[in-house]
Amino acid sequence: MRGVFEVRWHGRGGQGLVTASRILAVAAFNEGFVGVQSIPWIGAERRGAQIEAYNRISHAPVLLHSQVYEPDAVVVVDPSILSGNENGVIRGLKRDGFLVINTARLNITPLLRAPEGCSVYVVDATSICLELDLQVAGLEVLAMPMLGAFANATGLVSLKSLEKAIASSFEAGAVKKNIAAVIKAYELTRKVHLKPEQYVPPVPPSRPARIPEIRHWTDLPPVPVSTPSKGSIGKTGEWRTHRPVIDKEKCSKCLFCWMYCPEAAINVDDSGFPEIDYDYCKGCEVCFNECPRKAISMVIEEK
Amino acid sequence: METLILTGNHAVAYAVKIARASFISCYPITPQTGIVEKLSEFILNGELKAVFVPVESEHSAMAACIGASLTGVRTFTATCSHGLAYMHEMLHWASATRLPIVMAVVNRTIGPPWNIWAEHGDSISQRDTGWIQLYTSNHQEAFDTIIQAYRIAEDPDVFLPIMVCFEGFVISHTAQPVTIPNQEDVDAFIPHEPWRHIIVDVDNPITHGNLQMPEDWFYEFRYLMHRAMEAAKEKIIRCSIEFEKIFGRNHGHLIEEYKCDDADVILLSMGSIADQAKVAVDVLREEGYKAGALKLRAFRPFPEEELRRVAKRTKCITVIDRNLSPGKGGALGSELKAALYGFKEMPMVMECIAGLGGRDVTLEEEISLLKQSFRMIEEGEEPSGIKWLGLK
Amino acid sequence: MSARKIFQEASEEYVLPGNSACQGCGSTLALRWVLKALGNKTVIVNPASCGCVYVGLYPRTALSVPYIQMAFAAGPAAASGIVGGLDVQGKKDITVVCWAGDGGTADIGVSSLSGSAERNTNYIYFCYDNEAYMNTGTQRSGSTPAGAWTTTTPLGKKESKKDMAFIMAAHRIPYVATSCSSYPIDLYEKTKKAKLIGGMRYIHILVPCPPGWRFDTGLTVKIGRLAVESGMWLLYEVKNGIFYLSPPSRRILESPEKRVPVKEYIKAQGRFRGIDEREIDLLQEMIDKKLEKAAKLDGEPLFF
Repeated sequence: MRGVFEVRWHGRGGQGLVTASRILAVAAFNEGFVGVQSIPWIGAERRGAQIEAYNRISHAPVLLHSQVYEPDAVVVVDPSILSGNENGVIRGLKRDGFLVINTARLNITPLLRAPEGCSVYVVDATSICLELDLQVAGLEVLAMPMLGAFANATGLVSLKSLEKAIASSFEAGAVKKNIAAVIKAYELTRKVHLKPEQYVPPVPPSRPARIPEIRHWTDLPPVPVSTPSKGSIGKTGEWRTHRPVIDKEKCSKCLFCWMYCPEAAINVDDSGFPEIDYDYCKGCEVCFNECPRKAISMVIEEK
Repeated sequence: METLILTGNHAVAYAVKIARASFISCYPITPQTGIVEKLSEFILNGELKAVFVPVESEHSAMAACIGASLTGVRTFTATCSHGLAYMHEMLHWASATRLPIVMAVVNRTIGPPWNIWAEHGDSISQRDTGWIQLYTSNHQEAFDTIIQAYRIAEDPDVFLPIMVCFEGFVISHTAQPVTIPNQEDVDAFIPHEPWRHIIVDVDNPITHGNLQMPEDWFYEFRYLMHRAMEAAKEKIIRCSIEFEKIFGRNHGHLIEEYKCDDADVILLSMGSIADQAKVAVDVLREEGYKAGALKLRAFRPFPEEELRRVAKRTKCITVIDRNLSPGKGGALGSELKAALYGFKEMPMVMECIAGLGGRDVTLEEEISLLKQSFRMIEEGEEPSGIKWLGLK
Repeated sequence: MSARKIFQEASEEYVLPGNSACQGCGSTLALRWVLKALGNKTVIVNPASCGCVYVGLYPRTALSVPYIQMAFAAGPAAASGIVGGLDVQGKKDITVVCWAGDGGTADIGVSSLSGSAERNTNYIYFCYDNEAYMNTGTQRSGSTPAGAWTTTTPLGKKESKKDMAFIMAAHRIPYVATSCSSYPIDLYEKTKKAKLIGGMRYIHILVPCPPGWRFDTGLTVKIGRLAVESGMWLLYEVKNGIFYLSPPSRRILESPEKRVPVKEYIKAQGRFRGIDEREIDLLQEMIDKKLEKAAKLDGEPLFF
């Protein structure tokens, strides 16, 4: 390998991306790379929201401190973020890069887009986490098995280096489980070949403008003020892994779900039934737990 | 119009009253306390219609002014020294919210050891907070500058808070004549039109302060603040000119020149020292020296161009700083030199520290400093390091 | 009052969905009900806290009332300024509110809060108490209870939780109350009551926090209910100095069968994983004594 190898992780808050990026840096260092860097992305989003993390790996000390724009590898920890965001995931990914994806028991391969010349690898990291009970506060730590998938795909770090890194990063009790997840994922990772139309020209590295209505400093007022709107952070329905579904047969219209919803994402329709606003429902499951008639069920999101 | 013999503190209280500030929040600290005591009296006897909130700290005093200013009313507070240092965080908050708050800073040292006397170091320490800083040299100037400050701060091209600074005891507790203009003239000079750019209004609910990501617009909002500071230079000048037309007094614009036109040595300073420097210049002129005095009124925005214009005509600028950045020197000396660097035909700069901890700065010292400067230029000597005036 | 009935008068939402609060956030649930009670003529000051983040990113906000974000220690003072500014303009029909976290209340903001209470400033202060600095990733605060894990108390906090509601009551302000986000109707009614009183009002709301307390996001309401049903958290009011237990807390005193052992509350959260059985017994004893005392205080003056 020549120069600096750059990695971008995609996932959601709470899935262990930051930890995985740290462990990858330690593992690469164990492997003999003197230049390693782990970069968490610090944003406003909370558990469940899309986040990114980065790594740089090099045989020489890493002097770059800016963000990663043109990664050599992209690791997608949570496949649910792919939907509608295919270009966001592969933005800047190099032509001869690696795309490593958690397929989570779902057939998402048709959704994938990859730059021409890119190698695509998949593994079902979600099942591995569920099988090994690798969870923190109710969320699967999907990024851990993805370390194994990354190692398999790129050959940049060995399992031995990863094991050593994990052993030095966790309490004794958690080491075994995490190592098991990494090994298992390493073994189950497969290279896939996409259909020719799924290979696209490289996508420019820049993110789309977050505030398209402001283009230049002359558009700004003297003081930044914000105006009320639903979705002040976007469509938070995307954070959901499970969706609450109301059974109107069982519903007594008691409106406990409406009362207890932390998101104000439950409305009441004209006939008095609660109605979930799936654009914004984050899928916290409070309504599911509070419904006295058990009229709400949680259904896995098929994205 | 009437002329009263007032302490500096009371002069400022009269100015706040005539400017009709309607929200005042303050915490006591010597030597500022006289201002709010007088203002409380004005409010109690009905001469000033205002809410006074006696807060439990200077941090809260500024926070309260920010809150009140967000509702669109004219606000005032006063502090100094430790109080100003304690306010530091909220100074940033006020300026970045672009609120036209006016504050009197009665310049005092920061301890330890405890020392309640004059020094500019307290406000100089706050130079990067985004506040306009105007330094005044005497009672009348402090009075007039408070009125001017409201006009400048509330200008839509500026919208920045202003500190009006004058030295503790030297000005705050001494008494001199102060001419109080007619209320109608002041009302006409600073009509109060509530700022619309951020106002607490339940009919138009907005959120102020929302998080911005690095790729958003934070950087550009700071650029806008810098532009507002730059714009303030012209506004300060115009305000002085307009003020003179109506009230007949002019204390200088960003700077005030005194016999600088043909001067070979110019004494640059701020505050009371600058007033006194005029006397020193007169003494030297009588003895045949071509001396001049230059008073810096606006430290922020810093009048680089104006200083260069004066500097071009002279051989030496001797700077007296009543403040100290240990390990560097005085703020005015440093910034003057930075302003002159890279331009042709710039004079020698002699930096001097004086008057820390309220140590008296005498006329004789200023005279002798000027004479030393003349000796140096005659002998072609280079200044070696910073001079400490009156160091024992 | 039932949820269905309350919907008739409080269907308007002032905390809009699609904000950046965590899944199952107790704080947004509480703020939702506070604003339902206060209505649109409300101005909120929000010192540094989760609240500064969950409203969303510039240039949009989840709050449909004026919401002024403020430096950490400055909430009550800024509220005092807004009260004064509105007052001098004769705007009498606007309720000024400070919405602050427990760190902003019990620690860095306590001086400013105490000052505003001593001045009997005409506003309502809400402390939403998730018992640690959650916005910065769960560090201990003065309001963290003994035994709780935080990142700065890895073995569990040794010291007790600061009792802010009692501290505020000791300021002799007209109204102090406690509530919990799991009791929206209690919170709604107390807020409505507070709105009609002049001077300084203080409402302290326990808000469970899934990431900080280490429980599944769907359990936010359940955990808060366990806090009250176990007597770990008391709901009460102090009106003009007289202490009154609120119905949910009075219920567990009058019908002991409705009381839940504190163990259930402790075991439901990962943050208390360091507490052993002996410590749980001690905690249970303390709560028993507290409830006994609270029953005696009910209807009595809290201080001399």
